[in-house]
Amino acid sequence: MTRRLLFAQSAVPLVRAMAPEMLQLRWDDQLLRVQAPYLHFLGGKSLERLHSGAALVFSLQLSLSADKFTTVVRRNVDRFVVSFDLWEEKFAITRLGPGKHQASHLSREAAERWLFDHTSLSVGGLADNKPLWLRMDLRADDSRESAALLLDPTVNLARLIEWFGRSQRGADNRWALDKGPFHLAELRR
Amino acid sequence: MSGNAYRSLFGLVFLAGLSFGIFTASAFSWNVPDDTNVNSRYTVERIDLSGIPESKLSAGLRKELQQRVGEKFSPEAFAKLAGRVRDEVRARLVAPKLLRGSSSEQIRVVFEVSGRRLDLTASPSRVIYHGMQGWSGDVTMRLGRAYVGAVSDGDEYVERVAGIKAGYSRGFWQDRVRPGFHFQSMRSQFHNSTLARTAEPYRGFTSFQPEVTFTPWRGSDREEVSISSGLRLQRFTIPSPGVNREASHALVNTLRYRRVWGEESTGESSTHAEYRLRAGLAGLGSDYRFTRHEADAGLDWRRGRNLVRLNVQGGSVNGDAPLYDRFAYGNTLTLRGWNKYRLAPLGANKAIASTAEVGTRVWRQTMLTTFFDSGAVWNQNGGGAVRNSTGLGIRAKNGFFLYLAVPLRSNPVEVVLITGAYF
Repeated sequence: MTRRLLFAQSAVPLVRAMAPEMLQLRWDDQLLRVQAPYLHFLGGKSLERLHSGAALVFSLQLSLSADKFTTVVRRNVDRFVVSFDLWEEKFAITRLGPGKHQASHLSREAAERWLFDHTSLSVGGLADNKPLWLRMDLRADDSRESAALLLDPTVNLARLIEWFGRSQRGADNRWALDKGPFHLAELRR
Repeated sequence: MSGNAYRSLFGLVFLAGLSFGIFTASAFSWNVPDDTNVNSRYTVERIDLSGIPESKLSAGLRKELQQRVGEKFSPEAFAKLAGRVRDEVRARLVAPKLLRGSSSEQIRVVFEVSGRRLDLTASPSRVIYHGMQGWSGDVTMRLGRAYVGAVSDGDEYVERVAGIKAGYSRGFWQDRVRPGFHFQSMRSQFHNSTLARTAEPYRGFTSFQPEVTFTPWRGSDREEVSISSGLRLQRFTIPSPGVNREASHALVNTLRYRRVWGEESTGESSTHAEYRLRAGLAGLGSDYRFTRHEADAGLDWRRGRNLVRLNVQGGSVNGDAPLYDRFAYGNTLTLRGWNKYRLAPLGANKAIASTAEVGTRVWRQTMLTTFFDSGAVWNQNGGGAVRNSTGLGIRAKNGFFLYLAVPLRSNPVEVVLITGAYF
C-alpha cells in the first residue's frame, strides 16, 4: 500500500468530521424527529413552478433499519402540498392526511423547516442501545398518475410505501440522506 | 411460432405501447385541492391564452372561461378547463400559469399551450396493420408551416407506395387564403394478383402539387367551407424506356364542408362532406386523359358513453387513368374484411362504400364497437356485386383501434385482423 493511499484513507474521517451534519435527529417522546438544515428543496424547477402559481406535492419517507438497510424495522410516509403566494411572496404548506396541518406566510427556509418539523417516526419498543440507520427520501411530484394516489385522502401507508419503491417516472426532483449508525440512547431528548 | 407471427406479435406490442404512451402522456399540470393552494383566495381578473388564438376554441368554452373572470381562483376548476382547452386545440400540454393582476388581490390566469399534437386532418400520421395486406405507415412531422414525412402505404392505393413527402403552406387573411405545395417521391410495388393481369405499368413516381385553399365561409362555432384548387404534376418511372406513358398531370380540386359541435367533456360530434375532382387533360401534357370524381360524407355523433359513426363514399373514373387514380376499396377504412386484390386487382373505375358503426365506452377512453360495412366496386356499366362485412372492435379516443372483421359470404368464415393507431 503506498504512502499516498495511506494518507487518503486517514483523511476520510477528517473530511466527514468537517462536513455539515446533513441529517439531524432528535428523540422526542417515543418519536424520532429529523431536520435537514442544509437541504434546500424549494429551488430550481420546483421553485419556478411555484412562482407560476402551481401547488406541488412533496412526499417524505423515513425508513429505520437495524442492519444497514437490509431490512427496515419502521417506516413512515408523509405528504405535503406547497404553494407560493403571488402577492405576498411567501410560502404556504399543508400536510395531507389525518390531522391536517397548515401554515402560511413562511419564508423559503421556514417552509422547508416546517415540512421536517411535521414528520416523525415512532420508535416505541425499540432497544435504545442497538445500532440503527435512518434514511430520508424526499421527492417532488408533478405527474397525474402520482397525483391520483398522493391526493387520495383514504390512501394507506402500505400503498404509499409501495408507490415510493416503484420507479420514479414523473418525479421532478428527489433527495435522499442517510444517517447511521447511531443509538437512540445517544440522541438528545 | 413462425417469423411472420413473431413480427405480428412484435407489431401488436409496439402499437399497444405506443397507444399507452399517448394516453398516459402528461397532458397538463394536475392541480391540488383548492384549499391547499394559497392563491385560491385571489380573484381572477382576466384569462389569456398563450400559443394559440382564442378563436381556435369553441364558443361554449370561450364563454365558460369568461364566466370564471371575477370569481375566486379554483385550481381544480382551472385544471379541468386546461384539459378541455388541450382537447379542443389538440395540444400536448396546456398549463395554467398565474400572474399578478393589475391590483392587489387579483390575478391573471394564462393557459400556456405548447407541444401541439399533429392535426389529424392536415397530417394523418398512422401506423396500421391489415391481416391480408400487411403493415402500412405514414409518419408526418410538422416543422412550422412545412412538413416532411415517410410513407409505406399498402392500404389506400392499388399498389404499395413507399417513399418520402414534404410540403409547405402559409395562410393569409386569417387563413382565408392558403397557398402551398406538396411533393412526393415514391416507389411503387404491385401485388402478384395485379401483375398477373397486366405488365408492370410503372416503378414509382414523383409528384409536385402547387395548390391554393380558399375558405370563403366560416360559421360561428368550428364550421367552415373550403375550396382547394391546384395542379398535380406527376411523372412515373417506367420499366420500358420506349413506352411514352410517363406524365399524369391533372387538375385537382376539392370542395369541403366540416362542422364540429359540442364539447369534449359532454360529447363532441362532427360532420363532414367532401367532393374531389381530378382531371388529366391533354392540354396539360398528360399521357393519361381522365376525370375522377369522388365524394365522401360522414357523421361522428357522440353523447355520453356512446358513439355512432356513419359514412358513405364513392366515385367514378372516366377515361384512361393510371392505376394510382383507380379505386382500391377493401382496406382498413372501406369494406373492412374484404381483400382489395380479390375485389379489383387492377383497381376499379366505379366504387361505393358505406359504414355504420356504433360503440359504447367500456373503460376510461376505450370503446367497444361493432360495425357493418357495405359497398361495391366494378368496372363495367350496370354495377357490381354488393359486398357486406361486419365485425367487432375497440377504439380509443387518441387513435388506437383494433377490429376483427368478417366478410359476409357463403365461403367458410374468415376473420381479418385490422389494427393500428392514428396520431
